[in-house]
Amino acid sequence: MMRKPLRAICLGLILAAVFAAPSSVTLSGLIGSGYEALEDWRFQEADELAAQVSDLIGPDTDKESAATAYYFLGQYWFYHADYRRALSELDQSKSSSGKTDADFDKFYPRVQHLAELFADAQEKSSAHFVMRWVNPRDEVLVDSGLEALEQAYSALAKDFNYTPPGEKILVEILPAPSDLAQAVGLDESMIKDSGTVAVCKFRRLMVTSPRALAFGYEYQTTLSHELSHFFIFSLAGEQVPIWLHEGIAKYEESSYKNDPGRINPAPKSFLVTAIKNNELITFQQMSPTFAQFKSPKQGQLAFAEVETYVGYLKQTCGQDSWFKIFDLLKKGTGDQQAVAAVCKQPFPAVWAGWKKWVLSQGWPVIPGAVVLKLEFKEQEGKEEEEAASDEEPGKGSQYARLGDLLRDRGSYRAAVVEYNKAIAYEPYSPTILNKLGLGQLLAKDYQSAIATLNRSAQVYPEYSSTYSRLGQAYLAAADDKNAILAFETALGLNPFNPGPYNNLYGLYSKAGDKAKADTMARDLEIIKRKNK
Amino acid sequence: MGATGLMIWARRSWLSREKTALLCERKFPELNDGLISLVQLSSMVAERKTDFSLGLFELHLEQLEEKLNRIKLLEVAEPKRLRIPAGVFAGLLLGWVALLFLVPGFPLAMSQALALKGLSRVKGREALKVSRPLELYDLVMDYQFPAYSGLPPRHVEGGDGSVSGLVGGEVSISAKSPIAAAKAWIQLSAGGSSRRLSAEVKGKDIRAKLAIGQSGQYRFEAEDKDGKVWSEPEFNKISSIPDRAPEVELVAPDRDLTVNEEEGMTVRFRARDDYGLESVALVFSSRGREKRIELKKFDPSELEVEREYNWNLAAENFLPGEKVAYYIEAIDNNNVTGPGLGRSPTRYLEIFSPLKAHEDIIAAEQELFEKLIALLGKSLDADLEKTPAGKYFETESALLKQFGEVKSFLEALRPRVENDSYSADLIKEAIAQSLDQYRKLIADREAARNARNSALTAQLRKNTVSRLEPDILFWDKQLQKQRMDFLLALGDKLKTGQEELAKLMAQYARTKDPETLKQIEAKLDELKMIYSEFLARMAEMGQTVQDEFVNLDSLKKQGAGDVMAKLEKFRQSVHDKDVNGALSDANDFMAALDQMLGQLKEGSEKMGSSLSKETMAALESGMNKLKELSAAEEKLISETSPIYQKQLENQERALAQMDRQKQGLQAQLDQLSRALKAQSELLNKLNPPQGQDPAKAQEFYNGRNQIANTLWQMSRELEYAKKDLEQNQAESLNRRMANVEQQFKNLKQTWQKASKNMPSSAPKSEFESACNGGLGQAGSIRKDLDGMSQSSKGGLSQADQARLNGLSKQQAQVRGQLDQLMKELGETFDQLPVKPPKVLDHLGRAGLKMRDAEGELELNNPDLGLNAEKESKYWLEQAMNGMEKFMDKVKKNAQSGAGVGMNMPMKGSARAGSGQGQEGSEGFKSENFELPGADANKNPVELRKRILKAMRENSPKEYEDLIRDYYKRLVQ
Repeated sequence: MMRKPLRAICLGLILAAVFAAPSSVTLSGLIGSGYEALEDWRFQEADELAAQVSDLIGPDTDKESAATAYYFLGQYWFYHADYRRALSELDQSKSSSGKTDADFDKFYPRVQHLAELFADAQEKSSAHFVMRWVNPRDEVLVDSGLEALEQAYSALAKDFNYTPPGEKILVEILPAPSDLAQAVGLDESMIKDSGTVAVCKFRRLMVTSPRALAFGYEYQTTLSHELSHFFIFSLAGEQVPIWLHEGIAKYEESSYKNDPGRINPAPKSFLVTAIKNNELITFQQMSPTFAQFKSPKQGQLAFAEVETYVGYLKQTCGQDSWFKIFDLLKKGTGDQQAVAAVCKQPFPAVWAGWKKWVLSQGWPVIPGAVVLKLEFKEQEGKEEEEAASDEEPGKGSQYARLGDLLRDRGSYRAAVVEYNKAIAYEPYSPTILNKLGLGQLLAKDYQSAIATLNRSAQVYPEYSSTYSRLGQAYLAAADDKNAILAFETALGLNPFNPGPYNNLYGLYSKAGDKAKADTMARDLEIIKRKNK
Repeated sequence: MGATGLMIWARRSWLSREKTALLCERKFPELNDGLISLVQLSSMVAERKTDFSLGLFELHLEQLEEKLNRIKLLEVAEPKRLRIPAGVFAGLLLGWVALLFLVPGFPLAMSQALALKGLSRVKGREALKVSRPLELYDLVMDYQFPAYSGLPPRHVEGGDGSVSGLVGGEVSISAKSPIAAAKAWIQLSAGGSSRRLSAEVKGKDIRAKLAIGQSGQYRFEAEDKDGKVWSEPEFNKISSIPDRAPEVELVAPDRDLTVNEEEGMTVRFRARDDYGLESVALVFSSRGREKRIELKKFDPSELEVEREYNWNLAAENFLPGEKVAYYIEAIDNNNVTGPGLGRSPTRYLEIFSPLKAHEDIIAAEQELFEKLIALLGKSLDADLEKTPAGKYFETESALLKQFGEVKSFLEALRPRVENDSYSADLIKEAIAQSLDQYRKLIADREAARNARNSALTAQLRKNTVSRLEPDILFWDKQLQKQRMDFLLALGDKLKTGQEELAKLMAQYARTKDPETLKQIEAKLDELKMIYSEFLARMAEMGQTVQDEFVNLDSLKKQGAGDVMAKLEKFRQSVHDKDVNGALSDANDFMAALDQMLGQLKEGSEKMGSSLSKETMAALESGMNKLKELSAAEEKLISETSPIYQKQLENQERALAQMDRQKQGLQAQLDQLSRALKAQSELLNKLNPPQGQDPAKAQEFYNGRNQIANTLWQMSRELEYAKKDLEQNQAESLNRRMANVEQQFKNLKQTWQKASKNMPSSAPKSEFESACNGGLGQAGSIRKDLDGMSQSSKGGLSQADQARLNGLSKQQAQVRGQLDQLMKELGETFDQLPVKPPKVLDHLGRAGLKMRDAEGELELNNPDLGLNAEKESKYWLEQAMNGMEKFMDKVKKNAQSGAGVGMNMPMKGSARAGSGQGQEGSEGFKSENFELPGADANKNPVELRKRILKAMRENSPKEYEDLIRDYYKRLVQ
């Protein structure tokens, strides 16, 4: 999603250009057009305009115009992710006019930060992407990330019947959420509160390294999600409303695994409950960005709504309904009107139809299901279970605590007894399920551990710890095949956990797959690297 | 031996003075027996047997002195005589020298053996000196004493010439001499030395001044104009009186003590001195250094003082367990020979730190905690085991043994906790209740085991587990809270230190005094020590081993977090005397410390109380309901009371009426008695008819006797009836009157039967009518009695009775509510590790009294009903008090502590087999596709100790930040 902070400037420049000297008019006109092209992702046009602007700046150019031109060029290079060059242009802008304004003062430190950050960045390319990273350990994301991106690209190209023009898509892996905030131009608090880990903006994907989260996250799916946004931006420009953007992105994010429209059990449960209790979030409330939600449950519900809604549209109003809506939006039609036109029924009817459709799916309501919030806060470092975050520990937590105390002292079977008591109170707590699984594992009750951990995985497939434990349980039960799958899934969620690498190395070696074993060994070395 | 032999030989060949004189005479004939004469005459002078002219003696002495000066006395000795002894002596000498050099220790032994001290040339010279006797007279002594002594001058006339005075004083001696001396002096010998002090001579007056120093002797000597020496025949004694050191007594404490480091102690002392005290101080040694506290400075001096000093032990920063020696020292005002120092006996204080003792108790509680967990584990495991029947009770015995050990441990811990002022009341209560419950469980389980009752045993095991679980959670929280209390206490010290530092910094900024800089450095050292302790204690707050891998990169540092680094930087600036840097670093450090302490406070506030909010809410709700019940009971009391009052009034009125009725009844009874008497008289007058058949006559008499008997019995009954009436025995009276009524009926029948045999003149109808009259009267009396008892029966109107009935129903409702409340509270209490004592018991009693009230009100007994209501309210209030006190304890306990379930992950890198060295943290080994080994789950207490140790040791640089961050997160 993009902001439009520059329109006013453009207008001002254009107006100024009318009354300025002939050379300035041309310059400001070019600059205005250049900004528009950048915002609309017409980068080829932006390239030409930038070149012209650059040519026009000369010793005769008045200082104000030169400053404006250099500022534009700074923006231009920023869009191209050439921060050093952007900084240089901004320095020229500052020295030209001798003064700065509020926008400049906000923009400059961002660029400076990014220039320093990416000064020694490394890059790797694939067919359609360039991945850039700064932290040596983040290299472990590159191959799998590029692979996922290429698969997503193919899937999206097929689904959209479109490929974005222009050069390879840049993917920046940022070390920390504060870096993402700088890159995107949002407040760090907003990033943290909303749990935003990735953004598609300025014609590139910017993702926070899974290292920055306590348990990592499904980064490949996130890359795919952001790529979907890229496709939408490219295809439909700025007109697409947020609900449609996020709905399609969410729907398509798992297409790289040939599983588009996948939705996890917990969000399904939230959606069904919200429909029954008339607690849905309206599309207006979702605007202007999903990052605004203060509650992770709201975020998950919103995503569940829009994902299922676009899926419903596809199913009910035609496979190409989305693109028809895009076309209408580009012509200036409102989103609800566009939906009504494509689905040939009033928007409220479509809305009602969708609700009915959701309820007809028979998705179970999971009592006590929790939202796993991707938190950056400096608390326990674990994914917060929203339900418990502000309340006192309930009975379930108390029994879990007893289980922990017993487990830590080697009384594994006794710990399992207590964990089972805890589960009786909170049957869908991923933390308690994992504790129980671990307890069963330690007590050498492998089959029970597998069953318990699978239960957690079914409800919370994004919880990386579950798969690590599951892998260990399968391993202990001598089920190498499933152990491999579990460990691989764990790495897909948190590639910085050394445990699965160690185990996979052994398993691959045992299976005679030297290449994969070597890959594991290599990746293990990568994640052990120190920061520079 | 050689020396001894030599001495014996020497002694044997020793020449007496006479023989020596004779030898001299022989050698030097020119002496002309003068020497031998002199010797002999000298002996007589010494023995005071001078029966010859002393003037001639003096003349002879002069002459001989001249002669002796001219001769060489050494020539008297015969060297030949010395050959043998010389040879012996030489031999001995050589032997002695050989011993000196060849025998180790001999020189030392020799030096000790030589009695060299007694030798004095001066004394010898003096003994041999020859002079004329100087007999002084009119001796006068004037003493001047040192100013510090405060002694007035002393004038002594006459006397034997001996001097006695305070050291440092001076005596001026004047006397008259028999000769006109040209010069005079005092020959003084004291302290092994001898000297002359010049004296003033004026004609025959001699005066000299003598400073009183050491004891010794002196005499006046003079030289006349002819150069002849005169001296007093005897030396005069000098007795110097030293200034005694002060005497000091430590009155209290009168023995060694163990004291509380936080409190004070009163020291009482007494000191006295012969001439005056200058100062008194308390001297004590702590950690190898002696310190003094001046207690009193005297100006002017005082001879005696007795005082108390309140010693603030807390200000001395003694270490717990330290033994501090102390005494009182007094210094006198002797500024002449040096002040005297007096000391009291040394006493010792053993420093007891309640905080340290509390810490030991917490360690014991931690041990208890571990034991409880172990017992729970074993209990649960035992239930999971498929134990064969034969072994079931063996296992039970083992469990009971373990349980017994826990109980014993708790029993030993209890008194320590009871006496510990730092332990919360809630903890004390919890221990008491747990102990009760454990004892009961153990007893029950033992009985079940002995009875081989497996079903009961299984149930009791479950009960034990249900008891252990909340207890463990309780201790889990309490231990965290108590550790947090320590942290907060250290935080307070840090805060105080920080404030002191700020003052010093401000002072330094003003004055730039290097001394202040030193103080700042010292203060920083102190703060560093406290902060290290703080971190160490934070490490002890570690919880369970982390059971999930966490990306450590996600654990960010706060901007101002690294307090220790900032402290070090500040300290370095101070050390380097970088003033500007120090000022800036000071601000950084203090801001970081402030932030950390603020977060600590926040963390402690988040810990909440020992009970969940839900439980607290349930207790609050219970309390409110109790108050409502109490109010309802009060309302019942207020409604029953007027009814009771009314009843009382009615009863009073009834009593008054009864009194009046009694009088009437009394009259009736009297009347009846008279009637009976009249009938008896009437009967007595009756005789059988004349000429009647004897059998018939006998029948007549029989009948008459029977009637008389009856009449007598009735009279007696009436007498009893009167007594009953007197004693208000209405029931008894009624019975008797019923008897009397019946008797009258019988009497009538008997009379009718008997009257057939009576003469015609007999007053048959009169008797009959008397019987009827009596019957009627008895019946009337009975009727009146009934009326009386109705009146006395409470005086409750129908309306009042109906109201009492209504109140009884209300009481039943209140009782029903109480039953419900008891059930709810019982369920709530069951969840608590610590229950409010006796609350349910009191509520039970309240319920019983409510039931009584209900019954009595229904029976229209407002007096009894009211009593029961009041008792019921009393027990409700007792229950309320118990709840209030319990909730207060819980609230007091809510000032710190971690919430249950605060799973702070521990740094896995300190554990064996974990992801050490990798940028992550995991508590359980997962490398090399092996399951966690036996060492992967060491006792977290040991683990914490290792981390604690690791924290105190130098950690790898790359982990320093992580370790600091970890502790920061713990605070959060």
